[in-house]
Amino acid sequence: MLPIDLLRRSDRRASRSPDESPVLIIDQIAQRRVVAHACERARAMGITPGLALADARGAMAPAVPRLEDHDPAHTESCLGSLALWATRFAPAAAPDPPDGLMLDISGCARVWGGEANLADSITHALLSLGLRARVAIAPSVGGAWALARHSKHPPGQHPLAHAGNLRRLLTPFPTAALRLEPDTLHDLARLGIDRVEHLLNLPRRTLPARFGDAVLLRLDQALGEAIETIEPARPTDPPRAERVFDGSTDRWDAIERTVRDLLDELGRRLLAREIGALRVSAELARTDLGPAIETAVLSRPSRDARHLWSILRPKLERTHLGFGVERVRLTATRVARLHHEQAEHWRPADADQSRRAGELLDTLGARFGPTRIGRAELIESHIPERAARWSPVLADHAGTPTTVPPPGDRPTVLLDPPAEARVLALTPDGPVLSLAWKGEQRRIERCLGPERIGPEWWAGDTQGRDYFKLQDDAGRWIWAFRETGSRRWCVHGVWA
Amino acid sequence: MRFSPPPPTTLRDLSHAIERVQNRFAAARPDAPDAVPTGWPGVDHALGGLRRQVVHEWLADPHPAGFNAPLALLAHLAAQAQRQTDHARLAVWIGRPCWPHPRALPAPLLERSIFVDASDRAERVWATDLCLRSPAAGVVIADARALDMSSSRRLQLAAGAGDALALLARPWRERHRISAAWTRWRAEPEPSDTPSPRWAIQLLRCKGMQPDEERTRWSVLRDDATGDVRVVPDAPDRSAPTVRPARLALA
Repeated sequence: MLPIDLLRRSDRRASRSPDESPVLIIDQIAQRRVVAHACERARAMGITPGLALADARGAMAPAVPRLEDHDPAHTESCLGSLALWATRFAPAAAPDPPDGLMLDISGCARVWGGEANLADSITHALLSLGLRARVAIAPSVGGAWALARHSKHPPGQHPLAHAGNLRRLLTPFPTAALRLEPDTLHDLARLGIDRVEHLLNLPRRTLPARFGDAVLLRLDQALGEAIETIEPARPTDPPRAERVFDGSTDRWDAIERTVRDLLDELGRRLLAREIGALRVSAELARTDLGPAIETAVLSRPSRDARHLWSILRPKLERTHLGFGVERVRLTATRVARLHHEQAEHWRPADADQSRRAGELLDTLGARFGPTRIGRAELIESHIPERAARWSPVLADHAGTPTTVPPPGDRPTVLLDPPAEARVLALTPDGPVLSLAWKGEQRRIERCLGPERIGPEWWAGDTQGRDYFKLQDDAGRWIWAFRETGSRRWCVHGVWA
Repeated sequence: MRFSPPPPTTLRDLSHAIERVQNRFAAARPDAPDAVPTGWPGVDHALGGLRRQVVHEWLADPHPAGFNAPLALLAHLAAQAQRQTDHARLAVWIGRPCWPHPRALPAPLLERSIFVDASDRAERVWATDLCLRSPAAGVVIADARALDMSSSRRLQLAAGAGDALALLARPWRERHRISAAWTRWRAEPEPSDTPSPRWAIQLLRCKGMQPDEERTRWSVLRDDATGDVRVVPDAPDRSAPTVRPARLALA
């Protein structure tokens, strides 16, 4: 359920309209595409995880399922943040992949007015995030795991176990409730051991010899007879460097010195964690005004104090210091992995080159803003104005050019939008004699074409275009087209 | 007062001084180091290519579509510079009038191209200066409209500090403005009888040389399949030395 809920949640956040079609999350196993998760509607049609996609499609026809890729890493990272979120209920919370959260609520229930109320609160809070959850409380980690997944409680009620009734609650559960390996479960099933009670009836001494140590350990953990602890998730603080002045100062040289020292310190912190900053915010706490926060955005992770300073400096110089600054704090609010480098006499030119390019782009971006520094991406389209797109450099760059049609004969300058022109020709389809464009009449010496570019009907175009390459009497080449429907002429580019 | 001939040492000093002056422009000679070959035999023979670390100005007639730099020629030179430095370094296009249609650029050049939308003159000069100084930039193509002498000198100094090929595009009407550029070129479209666009390029000025109107004109055309610009094959052979060293007037 969790991957489906996460998908719906991200749909809602992107304010996409709720999709009525059933959802399947598809995993690729070797060459087969297999259903990993299915939503309720798909389940109602008889789809179960593990079914091949082709079979699932056949079973669901005529309904067409919406397919999404299985991404366990994403689900796990969501669980990690969810565990941090859950620390509002208990001090120790841990993600329990693939789809669980484990909370150590020792001593917390009183605050929430009893265990039942705590379980209710957690369920409702998760529901408000759009995540459906089954909550169980037990004196052992294994017991809670089993109750949450295999208890037959009606919705709205939560299985609450205590040391007295845990064994009784667990006995009717299938052996799968013990968190055993699939192979072990298979072996047990072959011997007719389907339920926990069957295992409990066997002589305890014989279990490790017959099925390995894991079975006895898991059984004891579920019953609370073996110790099991959880590894709580801990929030990682963003790397930070801070300095408080003795008194407030409005001297720029003092602040510059401080920021540069702090950048050095921040660089050492980043180095220790083998990361680099992608965004650094500098906060100047002023005596009479609110704090001034300036942010430097980088195109690639860096911990080079000199480079960070070159980006922060123009921003800080413009900052109004008020009656003085009391405290300077630098925080690396976005970080990314930046590996240590071996100090070498001969460094590979590539690494150096990409660092230098990053520094150049950052400096340009710091002055012009990230949207005015761009790359061009080619796009699979025949329509010239859609064949390329500008994308900001500082955004995540895919870097992999898609397969694009060969360029053909394209002008060096494209007018966007195309400029309307009037054309004189002897016959409607004959060669162009003159072209009036921008209030100037020009005689056309040569006329090559037409090159027909069809409309992209899937993008809503209705008219095709016939492109002509025209040479005027000065020798300039002009790229003009006639729309096939309206026969309107436009100049679209020049060979400058 | 009786005239006395200068002592022989002075004469030798003088000849050394002349040699020094002549060598100051060594870069303009065919054996100039780190020059980017243009791929145009006449130009390469005369200048040894376009030198890095100096500013080359390209003057073109304003086009009815607005001020358009001779982008086909600049794109060709940028591709040449990139080929010389194993494709690693960036090509930076500064100012929207200097942004070519991406489809007109060869793929390796497009991949390493950065487009900077600098609007007014101060911004353009600042960005050009920064890019020229950066070791990451291999070629910088900038819109240099309304550039004054001090900015021009600043860019020339910046080019000297870095290792980029600096190509500045200016409108033809600014030909009388003084500038610190190393070379100045004129590009104008030329009627042709082939479907390829064709230009006449003319070397107006090159430091250390005295261009001769008759022997510094070449006709080039764009190969539309590759985007390369080459010398018109049937043009008269001008590969003979076309510029001669400056004559030094000794006072």
